Amino acid sequence: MIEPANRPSRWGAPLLIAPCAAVMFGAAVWWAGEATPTTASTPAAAPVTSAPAAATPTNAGDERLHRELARTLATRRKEAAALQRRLRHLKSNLAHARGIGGSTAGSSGSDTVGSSGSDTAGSSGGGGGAGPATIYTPPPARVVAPPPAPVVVPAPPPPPVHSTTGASG
Amino acid sequence: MSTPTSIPAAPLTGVGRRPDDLWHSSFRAMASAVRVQLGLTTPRPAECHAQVRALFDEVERQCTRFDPGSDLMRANAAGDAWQPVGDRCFAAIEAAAQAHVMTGGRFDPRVLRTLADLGYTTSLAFAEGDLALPARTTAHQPARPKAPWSPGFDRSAGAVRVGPEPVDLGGIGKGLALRWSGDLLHAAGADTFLVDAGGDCLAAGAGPDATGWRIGVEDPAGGSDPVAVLSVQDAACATSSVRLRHWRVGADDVHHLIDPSTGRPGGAGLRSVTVVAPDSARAEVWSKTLFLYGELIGSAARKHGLAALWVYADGSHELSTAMTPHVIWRRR
Repeated sequence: MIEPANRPSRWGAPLLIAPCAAVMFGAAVWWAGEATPTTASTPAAAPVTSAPAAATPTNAGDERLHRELARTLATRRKEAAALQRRLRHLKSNLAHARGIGGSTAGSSGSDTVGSSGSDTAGSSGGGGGAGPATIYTPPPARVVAPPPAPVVVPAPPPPPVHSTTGASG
Repeated sequence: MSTPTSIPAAPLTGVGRRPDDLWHSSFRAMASAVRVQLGLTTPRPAECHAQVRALFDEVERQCTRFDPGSDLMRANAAGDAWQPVGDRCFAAIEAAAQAHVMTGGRFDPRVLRTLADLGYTTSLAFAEGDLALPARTTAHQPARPKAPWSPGFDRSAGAVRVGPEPVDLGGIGKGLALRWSGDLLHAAGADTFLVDAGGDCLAAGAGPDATGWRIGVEDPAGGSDPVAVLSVQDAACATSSVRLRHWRVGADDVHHLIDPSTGRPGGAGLRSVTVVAPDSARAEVWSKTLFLYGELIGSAARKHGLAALWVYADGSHELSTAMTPHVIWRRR
């Protein structure tokens, strides 16, 4: 290549390269800014036992998380309601069985079952949480056969007497 | 006991055979119906009946408290002075004194003033139903502790000294009349008989069917069926009960079985007590004494080894172990 002997031609290339490099650097910086994922913290999965307060969604991720939590909460509440219905049904059956068994069931058993079942159902339903409910499962009611009807033997009549005592003493 | 004038003794009636092969008769004495049943082998049964009736009349004449002229009431009036009395009255006061000692003072005939205080001064018409007397004009005075009763006896003079407190021989007098009737009938050759004086019975021999005399213990509540049926042989039975001899004084329900320790009707919680004993006077004394124990009667009967059956105020009844062999039927 023949170079012209004048100076301006010798500085023409750097003048062209430098702006291009600057443009490329700026573009790279912009791209890096756009391509690097953000470091925003992801909220931990909320325990199902403690329902978080409904938060105003700030972005699409939060909104999705909120919907999932709401679904979970609704599911757990349905399960708790179903368990309560089941408990009531079992209690009803137990009371019916005791009614048939009569006094053989005893009062202490009734007290035990009544207080245990009532307390468990109260905490589970009232809290509304999804914690595993410790439902008291009563032992299967023993089927007590009704006692046989007493055989009433009529008392024999008093034998004939020769006299009596007790009238005027 | 009744006055001979207010309740005259009925004439001897009903002597004759019955289907159960016994001679029967009855009369009224000592405010009670007296029934005599003799085995068919008894010699001269009509004479025996007459002797028994005469004996009861004599005991009543001497021992009644309703006749001021009776031997007993004359002795009561004499108090601490010696008073000649008939042999039956003498023997009755002596037997009462022995019973007083035998029962540790629980049998005490010195209750005449209390009975008079409750209005029982004449033979009352108990059988006619509810009997009410006017309320006392003076408040009841609690009984003071009494010294043991120690009457005096002069056998050679046939005289007694009963002491300052007048005595009543009602119950024991009837028991003694039965005892003496038995002696009389045995002496007359009878070996099977039953004499019943107002519920106190003396049974000799094994009865017409040789299984014992069957005696029903009446329901003190008035039920038609007996509480129990006893089999008695060569023994006596007596019942102390408030079924008949009870009345009202003002607002108080009272009866004739007086607790000497309180001066009030005793035997709370009981309605009747029946005792079987070898002797009729002994049975009479113990039935009255046990009645006064009230609901403690069970331990008292055991302590004294008595054959007793008692009915509580609620209608239930119990009996002592010694009574068990006599019971051939019990109400359930």
